[in-house]
Parts: sequence; C-alpha cells; structure tokens
Amino acid sequence: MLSVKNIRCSYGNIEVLKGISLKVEEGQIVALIGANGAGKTTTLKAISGILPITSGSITINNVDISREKPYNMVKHRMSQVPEGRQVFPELSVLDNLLLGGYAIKDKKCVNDRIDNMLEFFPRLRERAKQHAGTLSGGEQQMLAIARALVSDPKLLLMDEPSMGLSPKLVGEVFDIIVDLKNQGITILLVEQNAHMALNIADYAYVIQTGEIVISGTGHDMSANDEVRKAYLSE
Amino acid sequence: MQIGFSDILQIIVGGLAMGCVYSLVALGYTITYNSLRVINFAQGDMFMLGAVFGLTIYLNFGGYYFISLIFAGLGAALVGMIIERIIFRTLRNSPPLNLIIATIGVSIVIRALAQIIWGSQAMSFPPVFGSSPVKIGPIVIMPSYLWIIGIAFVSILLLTFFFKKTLTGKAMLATAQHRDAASIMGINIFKSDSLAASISAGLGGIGGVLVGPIFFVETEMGAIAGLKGFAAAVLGGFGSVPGAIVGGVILGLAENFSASFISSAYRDAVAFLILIGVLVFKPNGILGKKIMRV
Repeated sequence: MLSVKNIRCSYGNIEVLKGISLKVEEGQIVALIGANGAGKTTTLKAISGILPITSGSITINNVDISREKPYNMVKHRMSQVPEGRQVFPELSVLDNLLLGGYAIKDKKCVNDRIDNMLEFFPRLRERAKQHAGTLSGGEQQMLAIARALVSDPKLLLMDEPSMGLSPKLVGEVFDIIVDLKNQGITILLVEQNAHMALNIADYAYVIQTGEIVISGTGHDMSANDEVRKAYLSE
Repeated sequence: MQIGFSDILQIIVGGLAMGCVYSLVALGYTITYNSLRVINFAQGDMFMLGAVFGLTIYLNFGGYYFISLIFAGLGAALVGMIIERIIFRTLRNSPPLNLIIATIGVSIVIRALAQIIWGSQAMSFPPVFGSSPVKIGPIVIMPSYLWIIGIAFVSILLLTFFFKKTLTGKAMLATAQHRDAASIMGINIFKSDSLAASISAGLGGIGGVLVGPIFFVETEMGAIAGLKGFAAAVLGGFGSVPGAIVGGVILGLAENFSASFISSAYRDAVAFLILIGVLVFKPNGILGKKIMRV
C-alpha cells in the first residue's frame, strides 16, 4: 500500500534521513521504533509532504506522491495523527472534527462520520462544545485520532499516540489501534514505546540516526537480542 | 467652560466613532499577527489606500458612497494579498526582525507610489454623510459618527460570523493554531495566509474610507492611523480579537475626552502615552493571555 524507497531529507545542511526504505502492506500495522531524534517523526513528515525529500520516492498504491503537497494527501485516502496530537486548542471539539473532513466535498458524509466518531468516543460527545485545549491529554489523543478518521482514510500515520499518557490510557490507545486494523485500516505507527508497539505490529523497523538498522516481524523483533537490549531495556 | 451631561454624551459618541475605526485597523494587525506571525507595519498604509481608493471611486463612478466603500475595501484587500504573496511568503522562514523591517519597506514603497499617483496635496472627500448635525434627545451629533459606528459594527459582525460559522473561517483559525496539522487535514495553508492578509488589509481599508469624509485624505495619513491602530492592539492585548476591538474603543474615547478636557493639541499624544504605559506596566494588554513570541 505504502512504499518508501531510499528517501533522504535535510534540515538545512544536516541530513536527517539517510536513505530510508520501508513498506506497509494493506491491512497491516507496521511499527517504526527508535530513540529520540532518530528520525521517526521526520520520516512521517516526509511521507505526508510537510518536509520535502531531497531524493528517493514515496508511493501509495503505486501512485507517486513524492512531490505531492501535504494538503492533497487526503485525496490519496491518507490521514495522520500528528506528533504531540496537535488538536486545534482554541476551536471546539466539534470544529476540530469538522476540519478533519475539510477536504471531503460531501458534507452529509462528514457529519455521519462525525456522529460515528462521537459514538465511538463518548467522552468527546460530552465535550463536543468545549475548546479542544481544555481537554485532558488522553481526551486530546482520542480527538486527534477521531479527527484523523473523519476523512475515512485507508492509511493512517500515527506519531507517538502513547506520548504523555498514563499506562492505563496507553493500553486504551493501543486497543483502539488494533480495533482500527480490524476495521481494515492500514497503520504506520511511530513509537518510542517499543514494547507495546512490537506487541501489536505485524512488521517493524528500527530507525537509528536516520537509517533503518533492523527490520522484521513484530514477533521476531521482540525476540531479537539487539532490539531487546537497546529498546526493550532488558 | 461648563461641561454638562449632554456634552459628555457627545464626546462619547465622537470617541466611539474614532474608536471603531482604530478597532478596524487594530483587527488588521491582530489577524495578520495570528496567522502569519508578522507585525505588519504597512497596516496603516492599507488605511490610507482605502481612503484614496474610496475617494477616487466616489469621484469617478457616480458618487455612490457604499459602492466606493466596498470596492475600496476590496482594493486594499487585493494589495494585502499581493504583499503576502511577494513578501511574507518569501520571508516565511526568516527571523521575525527581518520580516518587520520588510513590512516597513513595504510601507515606504506604498506611500511613495501613492504620492506619485495622488500627489502630496490633501484632498477632501465630499460630505457624504450630510453636513448638518442631527438631534437625538439632548445631544447633537454629526451623522457621520453614527454611520461610522454602524458600518464598523456591521464589519465586525460579519468578521465574527466568518470565523465562527464558516468552514473557511475555521480553517483559517486552524492554520493559525497548527500549520502542519491544518495542512494534514487538507487545508491549503497558503490560501489561509493569503486570506488573512487580505482580510487584514481590507479592514484597514474600510477604516480609511470611513474617516475620509470627516478628515482630509492624504497619502501620509497611514502613518498616524497605523500607530494608533497598533497602540489599540497592544492595549487590548496583541493577538486577541476582542482585545483589538476593546483597545480601539478605549483609545478613541480616551483621545476624545483628553481633547475635550485638556487640549486638542495633545490628542495624538494620548495613543503614545497609552502605548508606553501598557508596554511598561501591562505588556500583555487587557485581554491578551500569552506572551508575545516576537
């Protein structure tokens, strides 16, 4: 579904992605794990077009999107839960969801999807009129996920959805991710919480200073000595 | 001089009218700042452009004030859009100071061009609002003040409706709050920027057309209007939309009261005293919440 081939990316003179390649097959959860500053978020930004790549290629269902503008990605049925949630703090929960469907022409369809989301996340329904900035961290994460789903994506990029959440909430978020997979959504999951990510991932890549160093099925990776030592602190 | 209750009411109406105009200019600063993170020192020149556009349209196209008002506003908006496209977008990732200096440059260029086209002489707008005062209860008011207050009020109402009720308005707010997230939603953030710059310029332009008929119209008029609008925005809390409105009204009232009670010679000094006072004692202004990032 998503294929990233040898992409390079720089901030100024510093090359942060030194030729990343990865594949996400339809219906899978693929995890991208690595330490802080390894290039996880940069990889997602490159895929979503926010950060231009200097070389390499990115395709969705064999359509080249390497040079596509970020605001056109919704057309490729791709959506994203960005780093640090990035809900619009001074807009209401409902408006946040409405903007999730900004690019969808059929507004009736958007409203139906929003209804579904409020059904699925009852906490958000209770707070529909509140500013998103007044929600708790967990609620904001739910909102960011719901907002990304309003456009009915086939591919969902998730950037550290567990960040800053209590262990109980982290469990809930991961349950939701598995649930989304069961609904047929393909997921590329960027995580620092390697343990949880490997538990649910069909396939995983480890990124280190801008390069993929190890990859394998979630199960293999959990058993890999190097991965265990470096990322599972065992 | 004996000042009675009806005089006070008259001073209030006059102050309110000028205050509404300052609010429009201040809203321009605010919207540009929120969306583009730029303090646009050419905002006062949008005010001047509104006035000269309005006058030109009024004199050449049959003397319909409302048509002049709308097209002068649109004209200023178009200039704002061009400035955004050429200057702000190009300098998007430069340090804030460079951007601010660039806006001062834009201001100088616009003033010079306007002087070439309209000359440096002050021009007078025909008294479109009528020149005979109207009597409402105990007070006697120039009708122009009522028109200014009414039109400014409608403009602010439309603006509020745009931001609260339309998807495009919400998309603009979203862009101002999180650019990356907004573009992920499919919002063309450059269109949002462009719209923010044009709305800001258009509001300044409307302010200019509104005061045209009560003052002279000249190409240098943007300097003082820009500074007063800026003072109003700072007073209300830079970056706050309600703050810009409140700041403008307070400034207008303060000016008119000091002109009536102290001396009209110090009218313009009030804005600067307020500006300095706010910056020293309450830098976040009345309704501002966050520390300015610039």
